[in-house]
Amino acid sequence: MAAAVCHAQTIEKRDTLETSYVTAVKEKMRNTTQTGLMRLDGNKLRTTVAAFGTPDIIKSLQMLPGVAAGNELMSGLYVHGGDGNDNLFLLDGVPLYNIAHFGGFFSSFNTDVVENLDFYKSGFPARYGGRLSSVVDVETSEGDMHDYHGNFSLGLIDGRIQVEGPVWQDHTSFNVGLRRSWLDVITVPALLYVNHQNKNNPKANGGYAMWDLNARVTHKLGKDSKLNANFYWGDDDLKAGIKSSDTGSFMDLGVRTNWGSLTSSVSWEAKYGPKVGGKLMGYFTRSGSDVGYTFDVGSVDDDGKEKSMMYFNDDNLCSVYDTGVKYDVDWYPNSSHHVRTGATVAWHHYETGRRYEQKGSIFEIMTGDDGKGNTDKTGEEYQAWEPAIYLEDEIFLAYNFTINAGLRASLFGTKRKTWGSLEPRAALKWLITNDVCAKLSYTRMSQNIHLVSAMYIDLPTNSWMPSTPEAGPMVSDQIAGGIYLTPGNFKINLEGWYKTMDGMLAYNGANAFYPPLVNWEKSFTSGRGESYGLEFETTYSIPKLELSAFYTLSWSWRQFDAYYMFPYLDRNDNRHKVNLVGNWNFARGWFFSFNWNWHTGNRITLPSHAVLREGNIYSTCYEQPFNAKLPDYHRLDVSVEYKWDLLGDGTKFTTINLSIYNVYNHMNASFAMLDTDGDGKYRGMAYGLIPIIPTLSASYKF
Amino acid sequence: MKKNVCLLILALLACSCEIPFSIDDISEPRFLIECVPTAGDGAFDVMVAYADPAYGERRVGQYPFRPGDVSITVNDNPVATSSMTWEQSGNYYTGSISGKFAPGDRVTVSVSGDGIPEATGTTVIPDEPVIKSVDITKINDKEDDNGKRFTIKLAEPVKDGEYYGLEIIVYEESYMLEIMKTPPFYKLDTLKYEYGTTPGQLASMSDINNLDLDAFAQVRYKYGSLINSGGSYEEYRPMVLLGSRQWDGDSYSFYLNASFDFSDILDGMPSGDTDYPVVDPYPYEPEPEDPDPDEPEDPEETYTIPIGAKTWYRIELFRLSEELFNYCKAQYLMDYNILSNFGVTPPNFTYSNIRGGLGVVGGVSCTRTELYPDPDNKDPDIPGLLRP
Repeated sequence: MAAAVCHAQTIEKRDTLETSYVTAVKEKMRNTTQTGLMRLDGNKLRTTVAAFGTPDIIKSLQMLPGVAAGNELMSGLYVHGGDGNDNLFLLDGVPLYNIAHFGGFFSSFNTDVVENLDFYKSGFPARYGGRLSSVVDVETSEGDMHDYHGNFSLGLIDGRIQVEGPVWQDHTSFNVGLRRSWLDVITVPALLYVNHQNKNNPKANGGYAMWDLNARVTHKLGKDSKLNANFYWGDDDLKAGIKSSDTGSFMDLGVRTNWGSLTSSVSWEAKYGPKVGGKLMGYFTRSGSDVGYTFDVGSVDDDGKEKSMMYFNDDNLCSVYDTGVKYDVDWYPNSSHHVRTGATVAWHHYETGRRYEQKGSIFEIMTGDDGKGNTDKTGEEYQAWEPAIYLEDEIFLAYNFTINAGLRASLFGTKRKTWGSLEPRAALKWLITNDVCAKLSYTRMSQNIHLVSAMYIDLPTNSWMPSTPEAGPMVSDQIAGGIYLTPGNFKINLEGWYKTMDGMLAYNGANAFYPPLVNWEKSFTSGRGESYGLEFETTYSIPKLELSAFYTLSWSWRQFDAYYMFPYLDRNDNRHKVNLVGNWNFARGWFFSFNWNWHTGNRITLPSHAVLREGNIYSTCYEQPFNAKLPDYHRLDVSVEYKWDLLGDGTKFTTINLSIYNVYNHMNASFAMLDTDGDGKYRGMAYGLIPIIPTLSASYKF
Repeated sequence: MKKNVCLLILALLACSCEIPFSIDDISEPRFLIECVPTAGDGAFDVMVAYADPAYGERRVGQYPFRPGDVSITVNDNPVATSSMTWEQSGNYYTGSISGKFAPGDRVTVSVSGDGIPEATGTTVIPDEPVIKSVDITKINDKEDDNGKRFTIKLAEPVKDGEYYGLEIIVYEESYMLEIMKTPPFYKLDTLKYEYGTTPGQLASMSDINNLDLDAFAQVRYKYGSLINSGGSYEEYRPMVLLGSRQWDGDSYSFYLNASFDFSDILDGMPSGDTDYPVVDPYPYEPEPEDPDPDEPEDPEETYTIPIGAKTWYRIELFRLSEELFNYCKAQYLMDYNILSNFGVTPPNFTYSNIRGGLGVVGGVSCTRTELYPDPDNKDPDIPGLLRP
């Protein structure tokens, strides 16, 4: 019982401790019953080796065992055999649908304002639900209540500003982070130069910009009560066009794509007594895109004034809006129980549509008639509501056993059908000695929404849709267990999992950047997935040096009867995966980091057989999907950072960082095709696209 | 030094872009079976081929099986192939099975051979579709365009899990009008066009928004066999593949001769019009003969023979078993889903219902309807050209 009391105290204390990354992980490992959980500290995330000099949460998670990254440099997160669209991303508790900029090159999370994140791969607590494979719970930092701090950074392709401080000393604070790419700033002079060189040719215009803004305001209502207001707005804007103009006429053709997300929430956290606390939150989140083009033709008068005679504009839109309320309660009824319970209700609104506008025509231009207008807007709207309640109890038993038992019940209702889901969650921990413990968990998760996409990459044309009678919810069951040791300065984890996924969807149509959105479910085929594997993780940590090694041995299977009647290995079946990560403070102000990745290549589909047809012609045929394996992937990234204490008092720093992505310039296979060698024999030919990328970045922190 | 560094970087960037890799181990020898049992009185084909691993040595003229190794049963009763011939120029045997086959018949094909796993496939011939009506609508009022929208209505709404194939044959017949006023007219020529695709999917801008690329999926088919079973390409007509998604309840619409191009954007959208001429007289101008040098040319002499052109259509609607639909769609997507190799799209279909092998055994039932020009057409010049 004494141990249990101590344990409960540790849990209460944990949320307020500011410990180092490793210590936090050790604490977490010992003090939680969950398997597959990793807590990453914001400081740690900001010091990882970063492509293009911009720290990235998703890229950091991709290094972890049990996670496949998919295509290089993309923001794929394929957890325990998942499909990449089955991860729950929470930003301060609010679901975020669009988690990447620029087709996945950058995640939507600005690490400057991230306090920490919890990443669950298995053993999901009952308070989380709605996705099959993982939970990424990101919490942003509260602003400092006493002093002003800030950070300015400039990287290869973006700049970042973060400022925090008190609004009302010791009562109210703010923390604001702004990030913006400046590729468009580079492209403007480049295009000006090109257009200047091509004086008599059409003029090109265009550019790409992504930006996001995080803001958090915290107000203390008293000793045990506070209000939080959180806001996130991230957008991508891609434009390209060409305009020709000569005496008497002009023509302007442009394409533009805009996509992004917005979340906002207001929450009230309070302790109602020494043993009870709660959090009430209302939120709104939106994710959407607008992909369109414009065509404009007209006349130019003697004064150079343009008059449009034919104008054509087409926009394809898709959006998802969520509005919800959550209420969570933490209760310690006695030293043996930690009860969490809560309820949430969310209203989902999905929109897809097309906006079309036309004025004038060629015929009207030729005849001199005034252009007639023609506007049209078509689209589909879907609504769904999703209430859920949960209850979980962490019970401290005798003989150092702890069990976390929970149940989550939810409904998902649309006009056509309502689904109910009952999801049991259970985790058992046995603290064998102070440095050794064993854990076992079982979880069921369900997912009622589907990402309608005909591509694996993160395109703005992808659209979220609710379940329909023809494409119902997806369900996963997962068992995980392992042994966790912390001898001396080492942390050693060995964990295994077995997971099944039912009701998975796969696009079964022709290539299309726009997946069909009317009767979309008929473009998909239903199947199941299975995944199992082992993860090994070890970390050696001493002051100024931390070395980690991760290894994953895994299998990931799919069975879609419309593709193939039997199980086949999934695209991201990386049988072996190794990551070596190191951080070394080798001299005063000098930091060296490295990250080496190696994994079995992704799988692709290539013809497997040849049949001699008439006329001595061979035709090829395919036996099963993803039958070939790309060459193994490996890459080394390093960074060297010098941190200069400007005043020598630890309050103002300038940092210069040199990061090199893919140091030894190993061209990893991005895609592959069928090829023939000199003897006419078939072979695979892969193509690498991403070379060495050095990046210099600088920041000033105060 | 600076120059050397630049050269080094350029060399690093240029190298290793192409990465050849071995894929010798991805396949073993297999049998490939293609058999399309079809309801009706005709014969359907069975083709059995030896499929070499694509990346190994090829076996030409060495056959690990004989015709007797191929077993075919209908409702568990063995049936004989009327002829099982080895295709001299290929690595496969073809045969045909004659008889009267009905919806509900269960057909199984299996083959075994030395050192190759036994391959077996089974299908049930599906019910025949019942066409209730076909409506034709002219979709474009431009003079030089003959675009039409066809709407097929079935007797019952299409359910999930039902699959169809569609073939359209367009016949255009020309007649001399002035020479013979009463039937039978002198027929000049009959042109036959086979439309397996729906080129009018982009009949208007509004179609772009919901463009269904799947509606272009097609395979080459003739009664009881797929193109892969041999024969010349011309013998096989293109068959459009239709899943339940393409049907709106009990109806399916498609276009003929309604191609969308940029001028459609500029000229405005085509509008619906149900009144269209089926027969369009047009002047016939014979090729000018070489002038006789002995006779002076008569610049005034001209003559015209009016010609009537009549168009009629045959629609063949097939009900396909699920396995045949999946296999045919796979054949189509293998050719067109080229982005799969780039790792950015879902995989190629690789469907087969042959346990232990490749290919398909898939059933078909067919119904046909022919659409003649409207007998109520009141065109005074060509009243008698219309067929009943």
